[in-house]
Amino acid sequence: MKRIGRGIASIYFGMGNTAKPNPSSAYVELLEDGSCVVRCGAADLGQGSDTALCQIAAEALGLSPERVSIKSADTLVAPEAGVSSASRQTYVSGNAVRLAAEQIRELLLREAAEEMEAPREDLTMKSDLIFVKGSPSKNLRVRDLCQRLRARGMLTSGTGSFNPPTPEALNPETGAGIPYGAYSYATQMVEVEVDTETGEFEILRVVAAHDVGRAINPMAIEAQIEGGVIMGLGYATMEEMRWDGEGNLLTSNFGTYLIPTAMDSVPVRSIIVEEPEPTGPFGAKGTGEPPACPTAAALVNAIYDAVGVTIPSLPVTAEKVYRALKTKRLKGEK
Amino acid sequence: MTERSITFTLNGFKQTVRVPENLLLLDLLREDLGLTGTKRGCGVGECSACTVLVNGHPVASCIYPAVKVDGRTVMTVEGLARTQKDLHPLQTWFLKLGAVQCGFCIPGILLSAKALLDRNPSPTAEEVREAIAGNLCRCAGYQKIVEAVLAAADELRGESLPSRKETGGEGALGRSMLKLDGIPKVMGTAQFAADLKRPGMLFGAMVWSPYPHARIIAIDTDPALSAEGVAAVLTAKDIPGPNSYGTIVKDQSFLAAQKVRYVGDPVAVVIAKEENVARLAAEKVRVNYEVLPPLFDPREAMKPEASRIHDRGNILIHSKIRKGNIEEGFRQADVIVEKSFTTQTVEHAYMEPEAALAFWDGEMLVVHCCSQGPHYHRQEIARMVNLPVSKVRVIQATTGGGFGGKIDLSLQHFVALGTFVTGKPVKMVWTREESFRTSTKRHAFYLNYRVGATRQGRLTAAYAEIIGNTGAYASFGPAVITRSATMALGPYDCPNVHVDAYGIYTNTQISGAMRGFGAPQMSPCHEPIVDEIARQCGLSPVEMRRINILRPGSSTVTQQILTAGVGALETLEKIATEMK
Repeated sequence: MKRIGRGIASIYFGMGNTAKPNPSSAYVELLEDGSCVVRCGAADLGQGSDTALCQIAAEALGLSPERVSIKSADTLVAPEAGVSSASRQTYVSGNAVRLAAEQIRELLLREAAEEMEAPREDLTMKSDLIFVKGSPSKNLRVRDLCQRLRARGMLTSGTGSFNPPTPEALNPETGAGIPYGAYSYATQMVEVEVDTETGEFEILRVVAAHDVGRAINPMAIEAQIEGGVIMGLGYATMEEMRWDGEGNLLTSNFGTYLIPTAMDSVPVRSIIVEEPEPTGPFGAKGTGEPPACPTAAALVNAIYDAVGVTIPSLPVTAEKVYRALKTKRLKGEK
Repeated sequence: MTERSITFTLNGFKQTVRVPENLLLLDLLREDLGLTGTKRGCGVGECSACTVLVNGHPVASCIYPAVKVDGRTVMTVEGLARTQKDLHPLQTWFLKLGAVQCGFCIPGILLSAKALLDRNPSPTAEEVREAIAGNLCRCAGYQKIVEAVLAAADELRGESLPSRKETGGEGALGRSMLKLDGIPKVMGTAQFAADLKRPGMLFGAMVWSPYPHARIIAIDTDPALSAEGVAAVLTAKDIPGPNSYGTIVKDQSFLAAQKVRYVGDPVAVVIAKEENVARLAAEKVRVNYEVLPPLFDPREAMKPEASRIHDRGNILIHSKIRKGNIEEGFRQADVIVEKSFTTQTVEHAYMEPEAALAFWDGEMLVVHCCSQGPHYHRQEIARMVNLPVSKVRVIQATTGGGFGGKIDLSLQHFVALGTFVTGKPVKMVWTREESFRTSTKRHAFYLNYRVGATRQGRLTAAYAEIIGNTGAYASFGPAVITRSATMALGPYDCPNVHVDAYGIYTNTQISGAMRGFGAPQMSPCHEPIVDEIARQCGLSPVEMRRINILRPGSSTVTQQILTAGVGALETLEKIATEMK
């Protein structure tokens, strides 16, 4: 007989290194035509930090993001931004880029206030224009202002540096303290169909709700969630490094170390929750790691929901489910 | 080896080349013809990153003899579009629908998909999945890839195109902007480190420890050095700076001098004019070992009487959480659930195996490499070769995924040392097997939990013992273990918490950073406990979590009072709706 079960799991995840300084820095340059170059040491491995950092710079300067370019992860031209780990680049380097861009923004708004004879705090930047809030017809083009500043010998560049607000090391005896500047939160649900005779199971779908603070790039976040969930399912059901008794690796290629293929992928629905993070760049926090964190747990709970057995270890295999079902039956007979 | 002249059509142009009988198609394309868009992910036909079309059929070029294309047509990713203005619909939709992340698997997937659409213009999602079943991808989870193939099929049939709703308003945020690095990745022009070349370039190959624990008595490099084509054999003696590194604890030798601590510990590097010459010569380096008893189980290795893997002992780190009064918390509990759980060691399995190229640019030592942290790599390399940090330049090449596995040094420092010693450009590319044998892993955890709650489901006490196998060297072990302690209970407010988290050295491969840093290991233990308490209290899993989940004003296990930006409850409620 086949039974369907649903399991949920919640996690939280601190952004950046645990109670240790992990600063990032960035240089932002607004060019003579109002386009912009960002330099930041953050390494993009495909997760999309280059794109997100450009969007952050664009937002701070009211530019279209298509007019922003980035040079990242070259130590001679891009300043240090830590390593791409701990889901920290959007949060930490994003803040560094924001701060660098805001230096330029401040300069431009100060100059524009004089030119436009308007109070500085009434001005804003959007769509490559500087204008009086509420009356966008009264505006200056950013590129024109850049050129006038250049003619007066003033370049529009800024530097930014950010370290997550983790004031001190954790107390070594109690662990008390503030280990992270911000946390991401997530709850996922896995739906599974389990064969009560054989222990074989099929994962039917996954729904993943992730609090990302502010979605800089929703499609990139979905991509992180989908990829993380499938990686989480590989961890949950098939992946295992094994060694022989002499420490030699037995799973040294993709024939012996199995990872999910397209045939193993299941429908994943991403739900993006935006609870603004006060210390994040425009409210954003990282989403790199959280998607891979709750999936195995939700599967373990789903299997219990379906057939009432607990699994004692990862990976969850049909054999382990079968054994647990058999033990349960034997106990029931006694 | 006898050579043969073969004539074939490559991306629409006729080619005649002389090839050795045993040359593989992938090597012909990448090395002889410079078409580096076709990738080598495994070299044994298991990952399909090397997929090309021969007479329209997808083949794994890494195991396909080059001579077999004689008289046939071959299409590589470079044949899909000549310029970025005339991208194939598959390429366009891969970009538009966010199917591209690191890009290493993409050329192969595009070609498998093209072969499918050429023979079946209206495939179902299931047929797309079957067509790309051999193409491994580690970033995307396949969903967006399948959607993109279906969208391209629609366009090729001239049918109404699915449009993607632009989210967000006029600002730069909340917009699903296309990836800035996307176009080179779908065209096959993105330069991963293995795709780079320099004139006069030498190749490096590693000599690894075959033992999990042994003392090095002597290293005889002469048999390798005397082999033709060998430029240098590097050992610890060639390192100008201190022979130690590590991101948190400098407990790892660049090249082992006294002791090896896992099968795969690097001992020497052979630098030669060709890769296969270097690899053959590496087998001639004779290392005399005194074999020591290994320790593989962290629960054994942490015992006081266990033999020492490092002089400082086998306990790398012990992180503690002590919040409230744990005994009092259990006294208040009506329900107590105990659970033990173990998790396995796993591999990042990024599709791009490690690769790096070093050379001198004037007095600047330059290293192009896969990397999750070029500035960290620069610091370690400068220390190794004893140069000012300002005289080392590390440039991240397009990197084919990392997930935590490309933060530590892997081979960046070996090519740097090779160039430092020989003066020549040095390149090294690891095989999939070398990558699996030596890269860091996700820690295996041994967990013992005990959690108490009132009859109403309010958590009163949580005890956790976490033992993590950190392997031979620290790597990110201290950070993973400390983070595990701070997140041991999951996102719940509990007044009394006691956690002991240990990172233990063993003679297994190194465990370090991997996506989740302890959280993926602990949640399959703490979340079933939460469900079990719910059952005993007569609550649903959602109700139980609703009572305990972190919200503004909650106190975390580190006694941090959360103030704002806490969306945990909202994620739970979204899923609760889904459960109805």
